[in-house]
Amino acid sequence: MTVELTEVAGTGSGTPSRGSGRFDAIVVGAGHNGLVAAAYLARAGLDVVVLESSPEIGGATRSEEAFPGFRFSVFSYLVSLLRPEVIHELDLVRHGLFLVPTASTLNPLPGGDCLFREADPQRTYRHVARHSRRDAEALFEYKLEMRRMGHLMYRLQRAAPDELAAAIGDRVAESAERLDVEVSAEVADIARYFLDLPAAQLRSFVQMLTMSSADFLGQWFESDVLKAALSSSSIIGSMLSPRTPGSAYVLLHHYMGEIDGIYREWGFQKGGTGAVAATIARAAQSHGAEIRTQSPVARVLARDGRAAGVVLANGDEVRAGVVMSSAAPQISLGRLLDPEDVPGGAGAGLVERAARWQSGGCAGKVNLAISGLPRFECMPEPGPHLSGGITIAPGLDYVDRAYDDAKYGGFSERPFIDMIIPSVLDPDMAPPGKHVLSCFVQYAPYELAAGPWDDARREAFGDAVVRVLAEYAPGIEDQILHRQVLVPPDIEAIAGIPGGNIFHGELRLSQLFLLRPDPAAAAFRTPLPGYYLCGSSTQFGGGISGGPARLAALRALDDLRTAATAAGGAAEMP
Amino acid sequence: MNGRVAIVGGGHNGLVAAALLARSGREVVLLEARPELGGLASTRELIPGHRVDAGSHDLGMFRRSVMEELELGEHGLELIEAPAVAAVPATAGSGAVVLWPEVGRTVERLGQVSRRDAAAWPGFVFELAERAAVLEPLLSRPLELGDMGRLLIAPELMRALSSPLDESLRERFETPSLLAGLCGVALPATGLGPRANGTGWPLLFHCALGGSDRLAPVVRAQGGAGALASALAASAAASGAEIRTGVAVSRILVDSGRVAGVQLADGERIEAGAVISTATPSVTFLELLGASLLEPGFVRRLLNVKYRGAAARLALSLDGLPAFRGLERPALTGRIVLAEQPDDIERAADAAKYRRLPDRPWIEAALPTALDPSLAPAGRHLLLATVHHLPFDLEGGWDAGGPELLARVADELERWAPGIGGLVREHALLLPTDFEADYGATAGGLHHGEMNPSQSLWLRPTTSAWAGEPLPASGLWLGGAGCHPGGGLTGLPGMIAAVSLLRR
Repeated sequence: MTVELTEVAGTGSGTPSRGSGRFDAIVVGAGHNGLVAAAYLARAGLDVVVLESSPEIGGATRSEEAFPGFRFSVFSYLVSLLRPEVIHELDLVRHGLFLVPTASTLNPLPGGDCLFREADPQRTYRHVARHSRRDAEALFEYKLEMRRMGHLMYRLQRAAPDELAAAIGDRVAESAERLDVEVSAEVADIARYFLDLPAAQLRSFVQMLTMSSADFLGQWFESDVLKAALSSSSIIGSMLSPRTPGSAYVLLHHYMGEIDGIYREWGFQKGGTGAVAATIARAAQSHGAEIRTQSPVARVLARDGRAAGVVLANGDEVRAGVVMSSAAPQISLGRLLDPEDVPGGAGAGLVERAARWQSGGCAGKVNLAISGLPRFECMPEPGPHLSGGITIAPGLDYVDRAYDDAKYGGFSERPFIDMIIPSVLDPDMAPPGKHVLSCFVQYAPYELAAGPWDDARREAFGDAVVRVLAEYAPGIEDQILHRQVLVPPDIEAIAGIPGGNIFHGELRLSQLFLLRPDPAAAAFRTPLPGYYLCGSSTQFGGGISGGPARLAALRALDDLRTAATAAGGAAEMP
Repeated sequence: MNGRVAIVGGGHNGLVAAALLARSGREVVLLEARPELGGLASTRELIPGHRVDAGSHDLGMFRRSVMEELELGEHGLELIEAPAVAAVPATAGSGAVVLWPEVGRTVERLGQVSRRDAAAWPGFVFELAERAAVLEPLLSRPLELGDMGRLLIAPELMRALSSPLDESLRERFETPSLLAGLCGVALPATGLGPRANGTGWPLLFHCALGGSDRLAPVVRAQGGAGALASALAASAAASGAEIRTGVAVSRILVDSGRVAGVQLADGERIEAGAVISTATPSVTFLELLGASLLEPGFVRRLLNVKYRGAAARLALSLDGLPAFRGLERPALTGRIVLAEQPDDIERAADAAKYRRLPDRPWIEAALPTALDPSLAPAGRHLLLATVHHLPFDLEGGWDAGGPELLARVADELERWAPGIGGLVREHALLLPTDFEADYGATAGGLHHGEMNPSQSLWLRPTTSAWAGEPLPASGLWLGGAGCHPGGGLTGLPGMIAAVSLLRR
């Protein structure tokens, strides 16, 4: 199979060609998605090289020893959305995947009160009932509904969007005609599932794409405290407040994960999220993929209307019949692609639309090295709450005000903070007795109205975070040994995401499904045959999931197989 | 079975339904609680000697085919198309912006402000018209699930309707007051700031129903919006419909799952085999039908309908035309948007989130006497200032909030039209609470339910079903703005109700 595929790709003999500049497939970018794509392509027998511009792999999942003895996941912090089929098919556990569930969420409240949700539903019921008995009852029903909706999305994620649209559109003759796409049996099955849903569920689903999470949660709950706590998942990584239409979808996006089959579980990777990337890299390498860092790609090479490789920034050419980019569309479609190379004159439109892609970051990361465990006013003693998520979102108005600050170009004076203490889950992250505190903070817009993000503004942002923390964990300001403040331009610079949006582009209806990242490239294929997209900005992307990269790689392999069959047929002809 | 149709509410939708049904030979009785017809599109003497439109006064989206079918011209309706679509007075940072129905005229005017924007205008209007044309059929008939395919295959339309309006407009235009003017056309009565997702939808809605060849034209009825109601009533009466005003319906009567008629507040019962309610979903089901007849899930859905986007209406009788900076008389005939930039509207919406009055209220002004001097005594002009994006549940309540709002609106008007304060002779103010009390507009929302994508198309009740389930009593139809396609002076919900009932 290896040989067949290689020959069809027309890129060489099928023998490893280290350093020769000829491969079967090139993957641009060694973030988790790029690595997943490489692993799948290599696993199918292709000779694969991953080209990463920075000195390290991992992209936005990178972990580093920011201060001697203290390891941090620089941007990301938790794992849940990593697709089970990716874990299974790439055998990631054997390569080092080790997820420790974060079993609880603590929401400290002003005046020493709190909301504490634990894995044990009975205990959570009692905590929530202190704020509202009605809400404690409703929580079960809510979780059931979210599981249903999450399952629906989960099924959808197995299908390529253009095929799905075709299958759904089948009911409307004209759309099927216009799309002219063949629909696989699996996709048809999913489409049928989607269309046969009870009206109420279909309605809920469409509603979730358009409504605000505050309104959505308001359908179940009355307590502002619980609504604010649950709405946290609806704003993560998004320039949205819980009251902005569309935030309900972001909520759902965070309800599609699982860990070891436990739905909606979030976990911490031993060693930090960078270890997830390392795990996938090992899987890819075990199938023979080569990973080259410090190899920035300047553009995609085309020949005879097909992708033929890439040109590196240093002018070197690397040849391959399959090129797959995990970068955001401003790069993949706007910068790497020469519009002249794209057949049918589709290039100019791609470039134009890539320029309007919205991927302005909204989140900062404040990583703290601390001398001891923080003492939260509501739960001062060490306990299980310190091994879970801790979120400062004491009310919907609080979060909305934080958002309003950023909307007009400031950072939040009183920010929303989602934190974990990785060293409690994994003592190797910090020297004995000391800890690392990872604070994911919103909102920090990519561009400040007041001027560039210089050191003074970074530190002012860091101060705002510490001020808020100190309100809930008095004395924490004196425990801080080191502080690392990262804002969207840092994410852009280090992870190569234009604008620094952690999802490579806002997760909202105008950038989802057939629009993610472009109507002409929404199904991983681009209008340049042989050139594919596989990053977070593609279908169902966003979060450490690997899902889009898997689908992209499978699609490229399908195309190779189809071409091989066609070529085989042709060869038999006299 | 009783063949009579009882129609609850004499707003324009109820009247359209009554006239269409009567014309088709059905026995119709229409019941309106107020003394005058027209509902939120009625004209009242709120200031002595003045004909003041209480709510909508723009017939630009009203279905032309319905006007013709019902011969409204013969029944006294005279339309006046405003020469201007919308205008933003000059500000410290920018010259005045005026949008005309004619593309060339707009380009010429925009050229004085921004060469780039002038160049982008024709393409913008063309693209809007193209998208509106895809949408229009979905808005003017009962919606089917299969119609989803139409949107699925139109990614650019999907994107336009689901994006923040401010963001889409900035892809083409740079002048803040032009952006504000377009937001001002789209966002009245939505409660949404232009940075919110889905604010592209109301602009497309306006364009789809405003006629494809021009951008959301302003059309007024000679004598005020109430003249539309009068003409509709005359047409309905000529076809034999019975129209009763000053009679409030207190109950929709149901007998073994079937509508049997309505009961009036004074106890009178009117038998009918079908009832069309043009009241809001909350009023129709919770007050008129009664929660005891409803499934718990249905009640929950009702309680979750959002009615945000309350407005207040200030009518001013002026000694002369106010001097809006940079606007000549013809430019004063359309919508006058008082926002320097989209964020002015955004900030007004922010205040409503926290149940506060905005520091600077967002006002959509109109000078109906600039087109139709008969609305005010000689020498006087009428200014209608609609203050949008107000919280219905204002912190501290509207008793205290009303005077404060009036003061802030006066300041804001003075800022835009210096000296206007000296022209004011009389005024009348309708608060969100008045819209609820006088017109049954739940929570003061003028659209009978927010007009954002999460409450539109398949997510809005239809004339005969909601969320795919039939309405809780057979023979009950919805015909008001609370059902598909929604609010605005379109006549479509009433038309769709009548057409659907006749087909049954």
